[in-house]
Amino acid sequence: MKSALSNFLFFMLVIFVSLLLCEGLLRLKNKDMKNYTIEMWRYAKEVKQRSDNPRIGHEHRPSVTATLQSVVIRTNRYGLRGKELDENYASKKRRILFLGSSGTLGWGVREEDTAVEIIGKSLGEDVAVLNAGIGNFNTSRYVELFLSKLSVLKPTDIVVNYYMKDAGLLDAGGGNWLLKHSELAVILWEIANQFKEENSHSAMLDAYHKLYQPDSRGFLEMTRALDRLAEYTHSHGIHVYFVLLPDLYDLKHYKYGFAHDIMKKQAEIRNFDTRDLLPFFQGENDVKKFWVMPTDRHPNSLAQNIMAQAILEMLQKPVEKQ
Amino acid sequence: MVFSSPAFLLFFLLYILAWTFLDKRFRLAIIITGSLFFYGYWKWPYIYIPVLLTGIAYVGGRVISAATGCKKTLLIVSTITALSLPLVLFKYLNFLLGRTVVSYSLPLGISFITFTLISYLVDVFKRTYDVEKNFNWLLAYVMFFPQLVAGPILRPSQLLPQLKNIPEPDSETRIQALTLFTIGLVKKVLIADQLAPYVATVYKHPSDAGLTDFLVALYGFSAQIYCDFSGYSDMAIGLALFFGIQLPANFNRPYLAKSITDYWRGWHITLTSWFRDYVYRPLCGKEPSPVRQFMSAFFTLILCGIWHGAGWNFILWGAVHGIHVGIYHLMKRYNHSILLPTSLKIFLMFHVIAAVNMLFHASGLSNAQDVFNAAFHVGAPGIFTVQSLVFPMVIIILFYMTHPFDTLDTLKDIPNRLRKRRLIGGLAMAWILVIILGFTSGGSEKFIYFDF
Repeated sequence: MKSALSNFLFFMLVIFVSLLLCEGLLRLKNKDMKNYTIEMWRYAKEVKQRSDNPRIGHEHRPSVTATLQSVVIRTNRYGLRGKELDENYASKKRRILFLGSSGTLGWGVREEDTAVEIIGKSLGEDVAVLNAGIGNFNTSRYVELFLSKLSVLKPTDIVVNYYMKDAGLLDAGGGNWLLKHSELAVILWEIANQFKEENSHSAMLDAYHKLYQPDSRGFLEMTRALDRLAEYTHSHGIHVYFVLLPDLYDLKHYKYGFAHDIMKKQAEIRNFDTRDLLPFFQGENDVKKFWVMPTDRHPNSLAQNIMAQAILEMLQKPVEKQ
Repeated sequence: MVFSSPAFLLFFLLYILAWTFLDKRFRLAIIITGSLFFYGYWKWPYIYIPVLLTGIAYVGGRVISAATGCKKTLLIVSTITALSLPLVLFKYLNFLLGRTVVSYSLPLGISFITFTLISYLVDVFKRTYDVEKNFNWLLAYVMFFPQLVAGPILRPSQLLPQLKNIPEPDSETRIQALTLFTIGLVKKVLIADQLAPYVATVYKHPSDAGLTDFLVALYGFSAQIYCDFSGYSDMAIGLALFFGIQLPANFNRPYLAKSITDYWRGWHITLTSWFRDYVYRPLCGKEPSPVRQFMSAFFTLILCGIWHGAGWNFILWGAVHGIHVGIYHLMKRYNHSILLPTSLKIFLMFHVIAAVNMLFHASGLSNAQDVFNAAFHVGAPGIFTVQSLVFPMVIIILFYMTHPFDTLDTLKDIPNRLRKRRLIGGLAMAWILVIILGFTSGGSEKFIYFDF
């Protein structure tokens, strides 16, 4: 009995020491900022905070700077990526607000290389272009963020950078102490998720087909959010541009065209100016040239530039009343 | 199938179950079918290649053993030529013609399989080993999965008698086998795979690299290639031992070599002895002239370079080693020696070896040159930040600190030196680290020697 207890205690000690060693080695290893999961975790810890509005979930902290995935991300006092608003912001001819998730934020891309920044520079001093993109966001959240917190910025135009994942439902998350403080816990959580979730492309395709069914909860929430946005913008004379971002995976045999078609119809119903960016990328064999890292397919500076040019063309066209 | 992959662990579990619960008379069938599955899992259409090559060697061996005189010599030359044809076709034809004629991928372990069968044929020719009359045993000798794709390269006398009379290993042998396999896994996943991305980055962007990055490539790649291949060998030896089969050591602390021949006695020992016995000695003869001895060493190591890959970087690698070995032999012949303290000899020898081995990773000569040029980019900002270099530095230091203890005998002795509980605790700790750090690397990298 004594021996069994001593063996048990010994192996508990072995496991404890091993996990401690793993934590230490992972912290050293992740200093290279190449682990996407850990960098996103650090983003959540260092740049985000829980929102006082439960429908937003989390939002950017105001006025913080962090280096994530070797790129500096800074926020202004509104939690928007970029510098503080100009003093003469209110008197600008156009004030364009970009809503979206990590692709809009410019995850893994230097601030000056993001589509929003390129567009801002191209449109000149008379136009203010603001980036309200937040990583791990969906349509319900960015519309709510705008309506409850960013409408004070009084934009003249809103660009919704829609990615097909934006119809998905998001957990509140962030409550686990271990997940907040341990890189090992994050990795173990990721391992567990990989076992739990089906990550094959056919499974992903199935999941998106289900998500875009008219009666799916995610789809209904997303359309409701778009209704709220349309109602507000139409009543306030704000012009909405609806931009469809493609999934930068298999651009040769793109499988998610159905989601683009559905969303184009949704945008047209609400009188949004729509542009699908898929044709600007489609047919490319070497998709990795658009990725920020071989393990992270967020749009890199090359892809952001293509996005910028396509959106810019749309923004420079004469505006029809919506 | 990579030893350090989850798929292999599942395969091994099923293999053990079949081995344990099926009657002993099915063991030959288990070795062949299991090994064919192990080979075919990588690419099913290529599964016939090792069988076809074994068939050629089997027929050749039977005919050679019955022949005499010139006819016998003619037969061995023609059989070895036939046996080497697929290797030449898949590995060297594009290089020889300077354009892409064969666009098929290189069959896994084809160089190892061809060399194993050549050693069988030569031994039959020299009558140092009796011709194998049963094709299945010859196939089992070639296909035995622990050594199938990357060696150790075994002579028929080292494996066939053991396969025909497999002893039942006791639990101590199995623990020894598990220890060896785990140590090989640690070398592969915790050292080689962790260093691989840093080294690859320097080779990918040599023009951005500074002196620090060059040092990462120099020390990192030496540690990576050693741990990759000696890790594979340890795993192979451990796996074979699990079934009671003893495989010879393939490495013996090569980075502690005091001379170039010392190095070759500790690096990829089974390949070195293959080239020594089947190429160098026949070329050199019994009492060679200094020129013949030098040229034999030079030619043997050029051939060794070409064996590793079809590219000028491999030829240059072989030539440098050949000249080095040739000069060493000449100096020894005329009783010249360089009087230096042993530690300085080891230090210098290691750096020469490490610098020459950098040719291995290069995509070509110009890439190698660009990486070497980085050594002169003193003060350049470089690729890696100081912060991101801490992890590879820790791994590299740990590797060089433990290298003096890395011999097969020492590793096999670990279970005897430790109390059982501590041993199991140590193994459990190693597996936890391997699983977690392996996962963060996105799975285990392919072994470097699979390409050779």
